[in-house]
Amino acid sequence: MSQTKPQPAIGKAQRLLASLVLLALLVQVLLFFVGLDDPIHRIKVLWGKKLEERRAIVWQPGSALKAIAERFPPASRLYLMYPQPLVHWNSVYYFYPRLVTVTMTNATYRTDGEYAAWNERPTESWLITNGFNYVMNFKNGGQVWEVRPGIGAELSQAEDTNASQ
Amino acid sequence: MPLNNLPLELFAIAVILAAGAAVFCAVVRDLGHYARWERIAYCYPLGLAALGTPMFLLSYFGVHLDVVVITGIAIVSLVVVAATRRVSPRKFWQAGAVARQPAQPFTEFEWLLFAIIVFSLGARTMASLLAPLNDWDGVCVWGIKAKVLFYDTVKTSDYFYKPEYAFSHPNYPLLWPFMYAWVCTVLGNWDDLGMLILNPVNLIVFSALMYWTLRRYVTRTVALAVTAIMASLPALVHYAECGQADVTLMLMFGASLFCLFDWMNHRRRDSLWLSAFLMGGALFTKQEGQIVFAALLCAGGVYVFVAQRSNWKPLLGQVVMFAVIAVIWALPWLLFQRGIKDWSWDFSGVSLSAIRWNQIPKLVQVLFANAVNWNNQVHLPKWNILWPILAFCLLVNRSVWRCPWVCLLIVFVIHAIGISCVFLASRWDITLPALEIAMERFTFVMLTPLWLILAKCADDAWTIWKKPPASEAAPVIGGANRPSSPRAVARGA
Repeated sequence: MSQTKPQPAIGKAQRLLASLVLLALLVQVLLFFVGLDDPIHRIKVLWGKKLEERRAIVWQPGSALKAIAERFPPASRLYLMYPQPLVHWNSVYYFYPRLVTVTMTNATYRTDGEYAAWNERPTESWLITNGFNYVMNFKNGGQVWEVRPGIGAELSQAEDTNASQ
Repeated sequence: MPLNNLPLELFAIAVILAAGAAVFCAVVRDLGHYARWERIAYCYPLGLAALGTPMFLLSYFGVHLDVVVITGIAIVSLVVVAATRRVSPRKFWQAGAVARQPAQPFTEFEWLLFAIIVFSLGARTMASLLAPLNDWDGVCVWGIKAKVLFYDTVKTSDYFYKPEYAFSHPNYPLLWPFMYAWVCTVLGNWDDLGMLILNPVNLIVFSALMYWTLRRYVTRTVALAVTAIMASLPALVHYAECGQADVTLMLMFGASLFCLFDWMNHRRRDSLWLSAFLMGGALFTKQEGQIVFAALLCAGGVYVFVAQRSNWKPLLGQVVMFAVIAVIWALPWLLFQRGIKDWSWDFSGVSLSAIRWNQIPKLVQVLFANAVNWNNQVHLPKWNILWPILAFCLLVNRSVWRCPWVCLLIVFVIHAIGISCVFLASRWDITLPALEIAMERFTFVMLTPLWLILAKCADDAWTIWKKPPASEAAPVIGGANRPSSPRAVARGA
């Protein structure tokens, strides 16, 4: 609008609407502390603690899996039996570059139903042929076997034990 | 607080800035069009986009991320561009300083707004420096990709082809994982705390770019107020710590949108090329980048045909060029992505024919609840009263319904429709518990054009409110553009 032309006077309604807009914005600005609650709580809880302590606070399963993963050499390959979705997915991250897998058949596991139907107990020959070093069973609290001749019998024994529990 | 890695982390960021500075200097002829710190802020998203594609190509051919190689690419590019364009560091720093008028000192209210911005960003930064990677998508979608790219390469890893990894969406773009891997490469080991230094930088840079963009069109008080609202928005502050790509997309999309809007207002082709390059980066950041790309393209088209009827041919050519640049920069990834089978149960195989049209009423209910609920399902606050304010502003303000401001609304609407179609075509239940968390992340990206709209409405209201009633002349609410800011006048913009 040109600055030289006379401009219409501001009506009461317009002033009221403008005031309402500004008032609402002021309220939103002054609610800034609502969003600060989350980071300030984080800082208060984590301040002064060591990294792994902080990890255990913010994501306990991640902290536990990282501790387990670090017991294995970086180049190791692990086969996970009876995976649960959360444990499997987090294991892939926390174990890397250690390779973990739950399948001999390149199967897709995505839904709870697919995980519940898991039935891929590895054979001894398959583990040795594919260069796996360890087998971990999530069903009985994370028991670990080193892959060596005769492991097939041990795995099936563990299976029987679990079946009877 | 562990700060021993901070120098190396800052070095990683400096390399990103150097790569971005090379692009900025190559594209922008009139450096003085941008404020000093605005230029530096633009270098960050430009650097992300500039390094992402070369990193991907190197990894595709089996070359591991390497500090010397990546730093060399950034530095050599910057030196070549600076020599060709004759831009010295001093010129880059001082461009436009002579023409600029000395700024008025802050008022008490402006100091308050500034303090809110600094305090919000500072709190988030501190929290990010303390908390290692922990959120679900951060670990299982983005973190795993970053780890693969750190220890391996795209060529040598079987990550992209194993159905077992379907849960982590191997077909999702890699720009952000590459940046995490880059910081870890500089640090010399996998450090899922150190790499998160980039998270607060994203939000800080976005805040800076938004403030300077707003300053072109509104008063300083309004620009500070809207920036303060954005910087302290609960949902955004929360997700700024997470290891996900949404805030990164918001930054790339936002920077691209700000440049596109500058082109609409000033017809500066430089701005459009910057926008295109940044959009190429957005396409390589998230799948959602394709939706925002379509939204910007449509907004550009509408601007050409609605606002520029007499001069539409060259402008249309520029919009086409915008699309070409963006797609070319993301093309290596887009081609590679076509070869990755999508095994995921929720989005695989979705198409237009899969849209559940009968679920639209339920989706509308979910969208409404997402906008007005104070807390989300994990009891974190969301938007305060932002959405009712936005709705009210759009109702009472007329000027934002005119070009080019209406183009911002078009961007928002197309983005929202695109995201809605994705939800309707997915296998997710259309319920608030199922969609809310994902919807929050989509929503703050969608908010980007609305920040400009909100600022315009606030500025119009502020202009009216400052004037004495009736006796003196004043613009009608939404009825007139305010005179250019002193800075814009000084620059001859």
